[in-house]
Amino acid sequence: MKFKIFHQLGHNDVWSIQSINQENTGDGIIISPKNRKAKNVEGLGASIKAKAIFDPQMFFPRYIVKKMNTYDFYPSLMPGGYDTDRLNEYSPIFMEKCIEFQVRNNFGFLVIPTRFYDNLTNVDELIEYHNKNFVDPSLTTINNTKTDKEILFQWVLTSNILTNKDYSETLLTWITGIQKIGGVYLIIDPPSRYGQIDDPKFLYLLMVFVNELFKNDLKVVLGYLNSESLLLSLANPSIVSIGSAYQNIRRFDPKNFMSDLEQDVKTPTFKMYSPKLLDWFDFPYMELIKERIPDDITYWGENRYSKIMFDPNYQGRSIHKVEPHKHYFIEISKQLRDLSALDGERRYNRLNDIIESAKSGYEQVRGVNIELGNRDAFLPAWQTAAKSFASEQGWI
Amino acid sequence: MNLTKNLIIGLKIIWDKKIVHRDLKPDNILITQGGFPKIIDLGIARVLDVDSITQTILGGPLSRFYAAPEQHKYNKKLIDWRTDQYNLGIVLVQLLLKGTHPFDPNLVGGKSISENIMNDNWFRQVFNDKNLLPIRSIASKLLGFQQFQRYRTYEMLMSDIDTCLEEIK
Repeated sequence: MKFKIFHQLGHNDVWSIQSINQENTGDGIIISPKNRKAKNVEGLGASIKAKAIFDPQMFFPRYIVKKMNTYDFYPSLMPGGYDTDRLNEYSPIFMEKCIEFQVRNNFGFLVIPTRFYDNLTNVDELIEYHNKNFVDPSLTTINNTKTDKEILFQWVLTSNILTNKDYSETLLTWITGIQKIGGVYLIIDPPSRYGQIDDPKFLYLLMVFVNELFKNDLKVVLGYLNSESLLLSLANPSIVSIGSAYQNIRRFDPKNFMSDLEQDVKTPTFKMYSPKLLDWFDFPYMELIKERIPDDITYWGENRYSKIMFDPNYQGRSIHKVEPHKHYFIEISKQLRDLSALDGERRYNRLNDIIESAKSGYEQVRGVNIELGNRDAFLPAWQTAAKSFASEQGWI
Repeated sequence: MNLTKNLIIGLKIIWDKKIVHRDLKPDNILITQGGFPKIIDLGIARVLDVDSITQTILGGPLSRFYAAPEQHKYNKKLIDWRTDQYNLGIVLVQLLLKGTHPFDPNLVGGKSISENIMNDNWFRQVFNDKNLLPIRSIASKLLGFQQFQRYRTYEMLMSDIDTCLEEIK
């Protein structure tokens, strides 16, 4: 089954929209209230909104950060200040306002907001709490608005949940039992929030979880992805996300929703995505690799942005430049569309070829005396996860 | 399969009212002279989200030989219409086995039917009979050990049954 590519908006989200419209690097967007004021969301064109998912980002009801203040549905706006014990009194109001905002803007889907649960509380209590405060009031509002938009249940999938078999199975039973939803918007919170995901067990269990939802005829949207989207495509998602550039900027991090950390964040260095090595490289490394392996275009891809970035006269290499972002959109979307056109076993075989090519790429880079440490440690992890999943599907 | 289809059409009436029968078994299914099934004994049926109306010494009402794994675990909160699917799955395969229970230790080993249900150990070899092959995927899904392995919607279930009936023709 083919899947779509949605851009997870954030830093300089206008580049994403341009890239979708002008370079066909995506099929829709995921809007983030943390990065876009309400009036700027309302001001988006109808055609792009029709292909949009609005992610309420209600992960920490107690906190509100900057631009979220421009929306009127955050529990932190509770009269008298946020109080967990009083949440159930007010949650119907907040859910109603949030759903109405989504309906009014005519987004492609309606998302039932979620919050982040960092500890494994009793699963039955969690389900009861979540139904009462998030699911039931949202579905009641949706029912009253008589909209026929597809409803997405949103959940933050942590490593703790995935590795606890009973817990994740109970969640699957619960989610698949919510009759009115048409899909699930999963936010991936990996074991490590930095660098590539190199935990094969986490990746395998994630694929199994996604595939179980698929087998229940539910659309699965995978949010906050880096290039592991290539691997996760094996599990039959309907939509995978590509972030703005720079490796970890779009990775889900609960801290970002607890306070205004933007001004404290160290500006990432200038990086470029290598479609061969499946990762991001700082400028000194990309320059060295290009210098010592000059003729192999597969390392950096060939597009107008890669040419500009390697131009000796290119000035001001920083995160604020458009080129690395748009270069990434072009290269990752090309890889994803290539996989999307294939099914099951053929998709697995192609992915395996991509990983093998990356492994040989790292060897070649080492061969020209460029040391990358264990930067490629994620590749065997991806391959292990892919093989385990493929074996379960009977593809190998 | 026609009998199963008619049972499901009948059950939809209570499922739509968010009621789960929870005790589907041959004793609770009557066949009329015209060959149509009638479901009886809603004594332990439960409206979802409302506490059980009956309690037994085991902590929850059930006929253990036809109970789904979640009923054996006495987890009332997890019980939904997919629990009835499981009960129905046992009845369906029992019909194919001409009355023998698919979890019967004489067929599949193990100590008891209850234990075999909890070990997901049933007589899948019934589908070695080529005539029954079209029913295999439906029966396997109805008897999914986890609820998320069963049918999520009534429409998905009916679609598979209609396809199966076409194949059997």
